[in-house]
Amino acid sequence: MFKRVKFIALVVLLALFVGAVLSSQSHSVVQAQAQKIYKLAIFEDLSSLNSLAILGPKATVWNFYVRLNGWGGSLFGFSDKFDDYIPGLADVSTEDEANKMKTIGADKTATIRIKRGIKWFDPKTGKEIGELTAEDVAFSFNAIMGKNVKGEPAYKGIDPVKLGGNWPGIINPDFFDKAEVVDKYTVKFYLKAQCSYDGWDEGLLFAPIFSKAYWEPKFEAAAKAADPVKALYENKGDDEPVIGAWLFQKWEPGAFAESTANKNHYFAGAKSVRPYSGGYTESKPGVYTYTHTTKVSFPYDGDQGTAILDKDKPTVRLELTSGPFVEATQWRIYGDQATAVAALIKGDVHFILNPLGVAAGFRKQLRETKGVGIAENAGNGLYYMSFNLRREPFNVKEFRQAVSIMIDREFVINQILAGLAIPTYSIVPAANTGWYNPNVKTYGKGLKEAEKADMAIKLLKQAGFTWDVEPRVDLAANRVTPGRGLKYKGRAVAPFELLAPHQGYDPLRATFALHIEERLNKIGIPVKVNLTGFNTIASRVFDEQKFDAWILGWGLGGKFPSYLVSFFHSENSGLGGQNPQGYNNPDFDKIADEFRAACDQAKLKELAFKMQEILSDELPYVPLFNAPLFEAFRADALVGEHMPYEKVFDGIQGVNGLMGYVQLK
Amino acid sequence: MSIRIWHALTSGMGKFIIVRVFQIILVLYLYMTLVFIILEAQPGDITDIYTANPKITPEAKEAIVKQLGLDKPIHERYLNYLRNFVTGHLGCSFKWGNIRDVPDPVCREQRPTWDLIKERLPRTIVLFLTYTIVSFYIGFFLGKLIAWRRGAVIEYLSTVVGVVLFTIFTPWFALLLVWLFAVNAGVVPIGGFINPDSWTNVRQIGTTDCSIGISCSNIVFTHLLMWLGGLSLFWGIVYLWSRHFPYAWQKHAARWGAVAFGLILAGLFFGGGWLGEVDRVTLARDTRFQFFVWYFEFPAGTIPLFPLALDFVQHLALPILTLTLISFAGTMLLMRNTMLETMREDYVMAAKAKGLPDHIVRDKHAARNALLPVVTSLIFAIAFSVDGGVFTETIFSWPGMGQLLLLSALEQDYPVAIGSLVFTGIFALIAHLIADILYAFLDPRIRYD
Repeated sequence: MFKRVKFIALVVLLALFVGAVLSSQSHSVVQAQAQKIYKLAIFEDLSSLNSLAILGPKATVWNFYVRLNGWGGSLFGFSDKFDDYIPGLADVSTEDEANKMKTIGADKTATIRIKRGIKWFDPKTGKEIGELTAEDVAFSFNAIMGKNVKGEPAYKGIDPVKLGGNWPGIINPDFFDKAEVVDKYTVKFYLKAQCSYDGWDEGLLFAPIFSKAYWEPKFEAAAKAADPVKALYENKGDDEPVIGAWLFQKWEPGAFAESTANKNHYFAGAKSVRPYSGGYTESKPGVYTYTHTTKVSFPYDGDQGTAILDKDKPTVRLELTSGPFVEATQWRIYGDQATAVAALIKGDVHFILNPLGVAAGFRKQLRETKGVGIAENAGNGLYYMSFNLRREPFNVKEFRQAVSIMIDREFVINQILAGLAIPTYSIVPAANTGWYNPNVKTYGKGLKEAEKADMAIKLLKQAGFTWDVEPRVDLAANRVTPGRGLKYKGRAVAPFELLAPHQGYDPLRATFALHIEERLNKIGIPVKVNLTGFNTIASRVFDEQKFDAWILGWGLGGKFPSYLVSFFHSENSGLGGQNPQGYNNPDFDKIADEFRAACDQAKLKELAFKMQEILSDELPYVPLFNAPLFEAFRADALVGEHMPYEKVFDGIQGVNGLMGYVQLK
Repeated sequence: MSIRIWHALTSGMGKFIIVRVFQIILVLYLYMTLVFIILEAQPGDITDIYTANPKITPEAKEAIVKQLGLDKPIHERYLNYLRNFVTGHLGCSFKWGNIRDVPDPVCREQRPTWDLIKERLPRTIVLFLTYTIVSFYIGFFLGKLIAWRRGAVIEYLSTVVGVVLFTIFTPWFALLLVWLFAVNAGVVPIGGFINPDSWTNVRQIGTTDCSIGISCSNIVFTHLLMWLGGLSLFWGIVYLWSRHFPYAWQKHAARWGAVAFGLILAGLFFGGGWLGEVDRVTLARDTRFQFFVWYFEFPAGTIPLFPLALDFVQHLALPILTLTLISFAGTMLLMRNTMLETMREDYVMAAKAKGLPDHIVRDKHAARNALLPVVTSLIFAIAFSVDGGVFTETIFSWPGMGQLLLLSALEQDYPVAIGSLVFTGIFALIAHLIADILYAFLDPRIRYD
């Protein structure tokens, strides 16, 4: 009897459990669409909510995507997709006015007027709590420099370098002195030079503006603390007022974060139009208008004003209305890409936000899934090989050229890596059309293996290299008989180590390393690959400078190639610097210095081209490849204005997954 | 009295425990030092994550190094680490910033390691403890059965299936189950431990305010854990107590009464516990809430804990199924082997000869005596359940200790990596001690003189 009761009770319990699990499976996408919640998959949790810290030491992509998205504003910025240089908070209505306003005078000052009527909102309630004024603007710049709103030293122990992370790049203390309030809507900047594109145009004018009412007491308190920087960063920061489109509302650590739409923000409903003929207009009826007629306002898009990668459509009309058009944006945290892909296929999320894009293994499956779209775009990165130029034979230019010639990028990418990457010969990616110099030298491009070997051997001989047994080349048969005992000016070239990330970290770079080892050994260059962890390479190359050669990559950030200076100026060759290879060319340094000081965009472009020419000949870096970015989204759920964005340099993630424009069916 | 205590402490079990505690302290110290050295020996530091970003200058990286105290000599950092541990502080994370309204007085702008462990631990314990118990129970039951029915089809079938699953590549198998049950059948969630739509507007649970960054789900999780623990203890006590009842009906009445009482109590708590300030958006998003509000006529804006607790249960289903399937065979084979040994013993023969029913001989004479190695294995499994599982937690997006350990080790967040490992180490050492003590209780032949 009891056995039967026990059995029945167990069955009932089990049935209840299964029923509970099955019955209440929430159909999240159906509900999300009813509620218009845009859902994005991300792969790591937030590590801070404090915007100052996120721009400082907590500078992770995930913090940027989630916390800083649609939170604030800057005086100027780039237009969506085409990167026209346009006003943000600055109050100008034409391109001429904008240029005039941001021109630094002979007295090294510039006066910027801000738009009237921009409101601060409480992120928790969504209520207006005041107007953006010149006080906020002046405070935002001065406080980071340790000065109060009047520009007087006030916050001891605080400066951009001490704040760390991105801060010295945002507010360069060698360029910026102070900002002063002229009237409620006007700020005067006092600078230390008459121009610096990096420091001003894409530096201070792109810097985020903070609420003075919120941050001033915190800076004052921090200044009194034993460690002011720590005192600033210890603020939780979840209640910081916003002027942007999103109100950060919820963060359940490890699970998800959510922002609700701030439909009352200043730019909501603003319409921007980029006609076929070029130019740009942006307006919000009765509030503001901005127009520029120059076909290409900024050289990024190239002389034709083409949309990047839209080769068959040289000019594209783009018309966008600022949202948000959804009720909320939700970031769901997934442990790995396989699970996120499964979530996208099931329809739990609309977009996978990942700086590395979707891995090759998933693309076929995603392409075959009904309703899923994949956007393919060029990434703004560089994978390269470099040497310790302080040592012989790496300091011999012909040696580096010979190495570059021997690497068959096209063979590795097309025959081994199934076209997963783009062969590269320049430091600036070819897709960055405004700054890429198409005339850079491409040593060995298009040659067969034997032709490459022949060319490399000739170059090495010219430079004074000899062999105990010289490699032999049979051009007709495309065959190379390996040589050995390479000598430079009679001295034996010792076997050297090429550090590269292991297969588990990056199969592309590991494959390239093995190819390089094989090809160089064929012409008697004694190289041994050491596939190791990223941290080992970073530590040995950047922190200790104890290496022969290495393979790594850079994410190049913005399109403006200031990295040409960072990577190759001799002043950065010290320990921890970004020129660990020790490249030291006074001619290059001179051009780099000119580049840093130039204001005129045409001049900047000319100098950037010159630097690229030198680098493609001297090869302190041997560029290897670029990785295109594949991003997956639910094409069947997204409607409206996202489609023109499918093609954009550095991917949809570069525009934060289109949160501001996206509409759901 | 004091002489008696002294005698108890210095002889037999007391002495053994004292000696073991000293050994544990020594082993823990050596373990902590080893963990510190291994992690410190890794090349680079946490600022390496900025290496690929040309916008972050060497000076800015240096500032971060100073802020984190990484510029201090290694012996100073080691002593700091030991000092922190002795004072009950596991150090401050390099990666995670403060998310409290009132920052930790030691860590200030950084998040204390203990805070992270506290956040992750309940999730890991719920998942891994549940699976450990389920898996051990199934393993024990099947092991007992196949040993008793040696040579039967069920033995071959269970052994083959169990071994195949035991040796299967875990991530692949887990993904396969995700694909089958979550993506195709759609009967369980794909991953995570909660459904964001259900939780997004939960601002307060009972009287506890859970603001941004404070895990509301952990409050419900903790309630769930406490109730599971409390009910298990209650039922266990009732079970042991009822063994002495002379009549079967008394035993059954007591046990089933306790089960019913416990379930009603839990039902009242989870069904009647109020959630404050849940707005209409939440209600509209999740049909479960609408059902409860409608059915129980809860006032507008409030809901009971039950649907939220149920949300966990749904998310637990697939990870537990996966973990159980891949691990039950270990216990099953262990139980089978020890049971086969035991079945050859004279007392089992004697019990059979006495004419006792088969299930009594099997369950009360053979299985009980075969239990010792299985219990040891269970205790260690429970101790290591705080460690979580890197693969499982990653694939099921279960943000527990395993994920925390993996991330902190990869990103060189030493204080968190060390803290997590030390925490696990402490549990393992305590488990050893408990296993040793339990041996004496389970097997009267074992004495620690």
